[in-house]
Amino acid sequence: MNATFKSIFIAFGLSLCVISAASAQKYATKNGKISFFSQTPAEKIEAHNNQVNSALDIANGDFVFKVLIMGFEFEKALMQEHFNENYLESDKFPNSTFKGKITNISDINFSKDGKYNVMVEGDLTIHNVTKKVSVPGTIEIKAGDIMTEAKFDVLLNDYNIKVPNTVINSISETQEITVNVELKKLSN
Amino acid sequence: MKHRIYLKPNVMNKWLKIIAILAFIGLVAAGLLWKFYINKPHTDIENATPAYTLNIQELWKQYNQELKLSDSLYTGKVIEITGNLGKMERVDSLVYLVFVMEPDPDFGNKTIRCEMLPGYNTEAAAVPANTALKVKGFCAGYDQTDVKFIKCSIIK
Repeated sequence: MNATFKSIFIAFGLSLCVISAASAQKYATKNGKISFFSQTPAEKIEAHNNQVNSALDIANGDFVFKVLIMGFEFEKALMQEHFNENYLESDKFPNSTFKGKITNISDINFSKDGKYNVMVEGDLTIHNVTKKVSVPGTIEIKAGDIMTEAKFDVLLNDYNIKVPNTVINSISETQEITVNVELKKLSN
Repeated sequence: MKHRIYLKPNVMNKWLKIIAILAFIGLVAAGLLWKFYINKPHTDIENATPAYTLNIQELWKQYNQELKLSDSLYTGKVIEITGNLGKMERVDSLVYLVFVMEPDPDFGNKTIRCEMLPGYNTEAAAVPANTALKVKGFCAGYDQTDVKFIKCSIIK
């Protein structure tokens, strides 16, 4: 009887350790920043979203982010309207997501402050079209927090985002995306 | 063989007048189009009348039970919500008021989040947790983890 109790106690203790170790490996934020930018002689397009959900599991490099399309803010109201209604169709496709991995996660020492170049690979979904992407970025470890930054280009045509002929000279086919997220250790 | 048309001076003056008036109307129309369509201002969320006023539990329940219906009712609209504040978060110059709804294994908690207008940052940052609040903002939707608002203000 005593031995049974001992086994149950040890098993319970072990499972608690596993659960706490698993959550200790996860970092997340809901206040990440994403922006896109493009410029043609006729028009500069720039929009920001300050509520990106992002999570990183430092044990295996799993990295995700998701963003609500309707949360992008433009300088011009008409541009924002066209972005939501005509181009990204945010009522039909309200989210954009990335699910992937930091492929060289083992190169990073998360217990020491420092800056590292990383490669992120995974599936980027915009406008309900998913494409494999491979993006270089940086990770900075600072006082226990993780700052990630990545900049990459997206071709509108790749994501089935159609620009009408009437404004084809005003809107660049390539948009530069910048992602900045500051991840904090997850504590439930 | 070329024909030349000569207009009498009074007829020519009449045509010049018509062209000048048309050009003026065109310029005024272009100016109005530029100001009130191409550069039309953003909706003034702070002073807009909310499409709906509801408490956070009701909003949360509706988004989780009827996402499509809730999207059609609330997403992209000015909404006023009431509830007890969970916590305040500050990132750089941005302040967020967060209503905690339920635990979440991936992101810590599922929440209703309000990104404040800069003019409300000081007031929002001073609100203690568990205070009953009424907040108005533009609802950006629900991403299966959080209902997100932008351009929020505190209603007194």
